[in-house]
Amino acid sequence: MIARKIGQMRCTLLVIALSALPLLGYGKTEPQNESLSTLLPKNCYSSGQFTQTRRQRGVAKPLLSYGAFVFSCDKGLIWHTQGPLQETLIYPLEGEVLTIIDGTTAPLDSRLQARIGKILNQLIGGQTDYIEKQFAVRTMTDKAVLRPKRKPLSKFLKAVVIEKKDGQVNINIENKNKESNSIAITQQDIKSSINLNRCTDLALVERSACAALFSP
Amino acid sequence: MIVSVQRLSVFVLIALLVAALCSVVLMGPSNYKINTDLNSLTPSLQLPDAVNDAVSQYSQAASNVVTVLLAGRDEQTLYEALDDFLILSEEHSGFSLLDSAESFESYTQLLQEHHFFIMTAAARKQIVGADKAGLIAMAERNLMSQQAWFRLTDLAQDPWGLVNEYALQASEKLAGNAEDILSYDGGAGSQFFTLQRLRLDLGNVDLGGANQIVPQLYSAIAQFQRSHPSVSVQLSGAALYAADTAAAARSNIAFISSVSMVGIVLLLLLIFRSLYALLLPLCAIFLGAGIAFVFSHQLFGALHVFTIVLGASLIGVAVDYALHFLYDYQHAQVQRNRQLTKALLYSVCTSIVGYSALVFAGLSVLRQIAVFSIIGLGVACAVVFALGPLLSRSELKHDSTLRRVLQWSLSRLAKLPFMVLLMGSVALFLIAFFIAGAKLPSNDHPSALYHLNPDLVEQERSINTFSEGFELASFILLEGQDTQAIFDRISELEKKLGSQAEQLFSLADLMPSPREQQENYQANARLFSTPALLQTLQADYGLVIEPQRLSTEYAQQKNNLLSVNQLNAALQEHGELLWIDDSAHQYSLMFIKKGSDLNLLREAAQELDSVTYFSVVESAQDSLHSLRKQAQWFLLLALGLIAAFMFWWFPPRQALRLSAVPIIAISVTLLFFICLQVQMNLFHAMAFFLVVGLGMDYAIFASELRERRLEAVTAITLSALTSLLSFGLLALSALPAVSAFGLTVLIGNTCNFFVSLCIAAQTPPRAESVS
Repeated sequence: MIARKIGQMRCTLLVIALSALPLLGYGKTEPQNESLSTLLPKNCYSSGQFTQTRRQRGVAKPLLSYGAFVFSCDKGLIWHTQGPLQETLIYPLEGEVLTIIDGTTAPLDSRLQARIGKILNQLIGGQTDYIEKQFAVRTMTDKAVLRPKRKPLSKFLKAVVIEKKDGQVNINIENKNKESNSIAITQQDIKSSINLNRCTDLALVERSACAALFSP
Repeated sequence: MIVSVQRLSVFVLIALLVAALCSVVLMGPSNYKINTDLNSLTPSLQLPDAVNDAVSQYSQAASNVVTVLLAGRDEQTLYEALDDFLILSEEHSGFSLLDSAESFESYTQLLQEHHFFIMTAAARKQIVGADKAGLIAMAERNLMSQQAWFRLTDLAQDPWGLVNEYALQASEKLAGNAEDILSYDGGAGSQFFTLQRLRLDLGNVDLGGANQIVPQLYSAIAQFQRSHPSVSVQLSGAALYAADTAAAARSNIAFISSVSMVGIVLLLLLIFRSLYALLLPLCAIFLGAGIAFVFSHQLFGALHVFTIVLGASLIGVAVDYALHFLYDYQHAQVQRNRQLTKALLYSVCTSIVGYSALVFAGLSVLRQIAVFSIIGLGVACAVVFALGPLLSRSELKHDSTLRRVLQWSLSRLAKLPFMVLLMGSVALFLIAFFIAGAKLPSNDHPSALYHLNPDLVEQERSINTFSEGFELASFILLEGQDTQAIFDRISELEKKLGSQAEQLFSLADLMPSPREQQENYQANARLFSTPALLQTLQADYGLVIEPQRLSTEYAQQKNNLLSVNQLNAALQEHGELLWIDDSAHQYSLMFIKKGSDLNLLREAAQELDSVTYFSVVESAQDSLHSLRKQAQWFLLLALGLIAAFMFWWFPPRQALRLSAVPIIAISVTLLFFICLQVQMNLFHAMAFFLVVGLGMDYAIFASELRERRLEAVTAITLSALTSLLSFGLLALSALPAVSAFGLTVLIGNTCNFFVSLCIAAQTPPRAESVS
């Protein structure tokens, strides 16, 4: 009888202990911050390569392109598409978005591109604080779904899905028309700093693009 | 004579009352409109009627928009505040967020319906100069480009993205909410701001509509601020000024009316100690104002609130008639009463002659005031004649103290040479006039007529530094025989301005001209006339298009150009002014961005035919200036007519003295204005008509009732005091237009009184009589 009682007591203690595990930090859900930070490593200077797959309404097959980027958290982002179409867009942190056409840098008067630029800057730079201000974040294993919190963004953007597969980060931007733009960062090199000279040396983007972003 | 005048007055009064009552019953009390639109105070723009109407409509619609600036140092806090603000604007029924998305969607849809005619000039040039490979490359660029991330148009209709490109360009030019939060260098580090626009649910910008919604807006903003204390909120909009003016006017008018009424009632009770004494003046004013309102409304269709306020003031002259009647009328004293009747008739006739000069004024409000006052004064006089004998009592007047003071004054004034007074006052005025540069200080700017809350002005200035909107009060008017002619004018002006043409927004920013559309259609022949290129796109890029259908459609839609009327229908916000069709002529307006160089635009427009730079403020100022000048000339005309009337009825010497009273009053008042640098506006000029009317009343009574000089002068004194209480207090009004009127009457009528006492003191009696 005493042994039975001891056994019952052990069971009870075990249940209590197991219940208390979450309080001790075991088995608890990972906080969102950590998950997003894992998917999008925070960095101030980086360069890399990307491939882009666009699924557009009215086009039967996905549109593929590839290119390179240079990012500076205090200057902005150069987004250079190398093929099949050559195009460079410069998304500075302040001022107008610029485009390089046939070697000539020209401003792009487009509020839409300015918004896109802001989002890309934050995603490439892993600025999770900003992202969490603009988006409601839902994280799963190796995946995060961002939905715009505010009407101005939600007017043209439905969701951003960030996934990590085989060491590669995929950013899938879905718009309201069931179209999507999927960017796969195939390579991202974090740098200690990037300036005009370094940008030029990287030879990933045109010299004029480096000059447009990094010149004082 | 008094009996026949009385009978006639009774008959006329009954007839008018019956007519007025019938009119009210037939029309229905609810159909009486009182116009509180402040814009009516400024004259119509010198524009064709159709354009004037459209500008008025646009001004009304634009006046219903309030711009809200939210600013703060922390971006996150501002984002949260913006969220709450957007929710607040959705939930409140009195105002809503101005969202141009709907009209832009219908605009984009419209462009797609005419997609063979729509492309940018740069795209057209590219198509014309490209070979087949170049055209495919062009389609590829529009498909693959980063700039094509988000399409506004359907690829099946617009495979080259030409309409999409055009629509995106247009979207950048259309003003809308700055939905983003932007940063700026506030001098002490980065700050963030956002601009939102609300549309208030008002009828028009008038004192009534703004009255109700604006306080609700302020209350909602105050609540919002309490939840977001670190976010600053500033507001700007015409409706806010209207509400502020309404609040000031309401409290002012209520205070002034109350003090005025109480003062007059107490004064009359003090002297007559009888409620009967109140009946006659009150009946005269209320019946006069009431009948004047009914008949003036019939004539004009609607009356402005200023007509009623100022017109009723002019009718206040009728209190003088009632006072004189109460003071002087004695039952069965025929000779005495005959003199009284004559004096009253002369008085009312000279006032009507004086006010009738305003009938020729250019501003409709002034004409309304003239008609309202003439009818009201006539009716008030008829009331005095009709009811006076019934209501007049021979009780003692408790005015012994007043009479002693006046007796003493008359004895002193008897020694003051009248001609010296006349010549002296005119001479002093002329000296001051020439010292001041031979001109009267004046300010004809429209803002001088309104009370502008300095806090609102400051907020507007602050918002204007951020706002991307358009000038509300300046624009460029284009005229042409047809649509292409208008586009040609636009093109000419833009060529002249060069890079400065970016300051303008016009029809050309939203649709290609008819000629361009034809050129676009021709250029599209390279893309759509045969299905070959489309089939290449289909094969190479997987476009889900129907090449044959598009080619057939292209051939069928040869004449399906986008018309301006279709564009007007699609655009809600600016549509009314981009195109105005006035049968023989077409007009279009170009909007000017805030912060533009207006002088440059004005100069450029002057050099072109059928292109006119127009500033509402400048035009209104010019108009008010010319109206004030007109009023001044009409005043001289009124004085001339009155003088002629005086010389016709009276001996020359007497006529000269009587005519001189308002001249002295006007001279002294103008002397005050010059010395105190009071800047005259139209309402100062208008008030002189009342000064003339009152002056002639006092002078005629002082002269005609010379046998009972002391009674006459006592009645004049009471009149002057009631005028001071009813008109002089207007000088304290917060509304500049009303205070201008009051100040002029205050100074002018004080002079009238003083000079009339001189006349009374120096006019010998016809015969001594004992009353």
